[in-house]
Amino acid sequence: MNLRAKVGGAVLVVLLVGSATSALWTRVGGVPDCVFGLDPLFPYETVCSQTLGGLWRSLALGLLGGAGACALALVLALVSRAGGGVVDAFVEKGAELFFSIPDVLVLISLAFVARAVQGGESVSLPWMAASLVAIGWAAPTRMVQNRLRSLDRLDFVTAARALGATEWRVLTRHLLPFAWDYVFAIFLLRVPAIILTESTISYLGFGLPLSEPSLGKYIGDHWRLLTGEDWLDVAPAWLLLVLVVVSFHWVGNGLLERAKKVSP
Amino acid sequence: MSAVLLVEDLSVSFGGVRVVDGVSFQVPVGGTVGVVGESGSGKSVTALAILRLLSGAEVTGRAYFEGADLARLPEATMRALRGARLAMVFQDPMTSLNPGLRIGEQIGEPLRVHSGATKAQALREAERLLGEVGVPEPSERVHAYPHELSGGLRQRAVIAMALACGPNLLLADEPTTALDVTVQAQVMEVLVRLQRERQMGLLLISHDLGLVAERCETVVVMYAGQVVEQGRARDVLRSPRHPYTRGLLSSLPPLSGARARLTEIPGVVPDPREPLAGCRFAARCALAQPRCRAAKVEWTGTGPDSGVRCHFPLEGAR
Repeated sequence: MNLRAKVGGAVLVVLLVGSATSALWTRVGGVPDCVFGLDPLFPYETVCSQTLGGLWRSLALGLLGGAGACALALVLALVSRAGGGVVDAFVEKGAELFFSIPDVLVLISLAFVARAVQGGESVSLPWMAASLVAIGWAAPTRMVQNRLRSLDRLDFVTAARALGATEWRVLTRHLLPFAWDYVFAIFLLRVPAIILTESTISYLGFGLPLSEPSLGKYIGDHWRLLTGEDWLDVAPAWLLLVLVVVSFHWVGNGLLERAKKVSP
Repeated sequence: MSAVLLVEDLSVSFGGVRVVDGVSFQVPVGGTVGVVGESGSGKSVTALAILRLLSGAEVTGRAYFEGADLARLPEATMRALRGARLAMVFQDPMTSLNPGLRIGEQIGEPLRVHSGATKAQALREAERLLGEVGVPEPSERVHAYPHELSGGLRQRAVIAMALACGPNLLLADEPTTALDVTVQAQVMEVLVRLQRERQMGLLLISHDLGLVAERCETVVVMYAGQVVEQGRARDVLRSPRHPYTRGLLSSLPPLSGARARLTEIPGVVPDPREPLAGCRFAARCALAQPRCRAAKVEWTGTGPDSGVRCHFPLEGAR
């Protein structure tokens, strides 16, 4: 892996551990106190606890949404491969058709559905995670499909078929072992895309509740601070959002390059 | 002598482009047939078409294996044949072995698939097969990964894999091309010995005329997807009747006699996407006449398994 991927990985570990344990060291009156002080809009919380809590929720949604989207993509790619012909073309065209639908509009529509079904003015974390899976499967599906197709053309796969291997055996012994690193890289690249989409939705007010903000929700609720003297209170959220997205990109791209390099 | 494989008018097209055109030949039980020709002449595609391993290709014609029309067999029956009674050795042992699996596991794979052998049984048999194809220290080699073996050992492993279930016909696609000359001879010795012991038919695909002359009873010369000459190896190589076969033979360096400049065949194999009215070799043939470029050239049989595709076949010795 290249240096950028290693740096990105180290940053992600720090952010994950930091956000997961934030509750232990960012409470009001806790030690050490937040250097940014109390949240101007919610004085019973510090800027640190709000921001790091937001980071944790953004990361959780990104990881859950990414994992769900990639799992769904893998299942669809396997089904299309097993079905062949019409099924394969159906999945491929279905994914391409899905690209033309704006993610944000789908998520806003799903938020209205959530409000109608669950009540309230916001969306629960599980609902948001499921919505992100629903809009995030298309690109990984095409990528996994293409990966399996390119592996399928390798000589040793043809040789396995020439020896009578069943399609299941070809898949489990000759294709999937060379696809996992690629799928993992796709997952890591999917996470920042999902975090950004969720941030946009929450910024617009169709995301998580005020009491449990993600980074996007926090930034959306505090956007007025940017033009006032308290602008520093919202800067950490922006910084963390950029940092987490860039770090995932660096690690994901590093793993993708490595997967291509070691590919048989 | 009955045929283990009979190919009749086999054609293969990809997206409407015909890359193999009306190929016919047969492999007798226990016999060796050599298929020669330049890269791109359709040799490997013919073998893959026989095994029905070409995805996205349109295949017409017939290939009968032990009397059964392979094109009409259900996929499950075809799969049961592949590797068990009808096996193939691929050209490059480095790419035809899975880099992530140990050699023993790969040789044992056809046994597990066809004979239902357990992992331990398959590994024991793999060890025995490695010994049979002349791999030293087979008990250690079964645990090696492909990259840990030399080219010669990898090719032997590939042959062991193909022979695991004792096939009646082996399609060997350039089995020695990737090897140096001494290892080539060893690998061929192994193949011929096993063929003799098992009465196995062997279709030897190669561009090495010397190898074919030495090992095969019958030779099929392919050019641009068509069989241009066929016959007993001795006759074809001594008295080629097609200018292309003669060109191939003239491009071989003689081992004795006066030093002379080698004769090359000028030009390249025609693009299969561009249809030609006449003979496909005409543009490269020193003896071509106007009729060769204008009129389609048909197969002229000169015996049960011999013939030539040329308007003006050569007469006499080389």
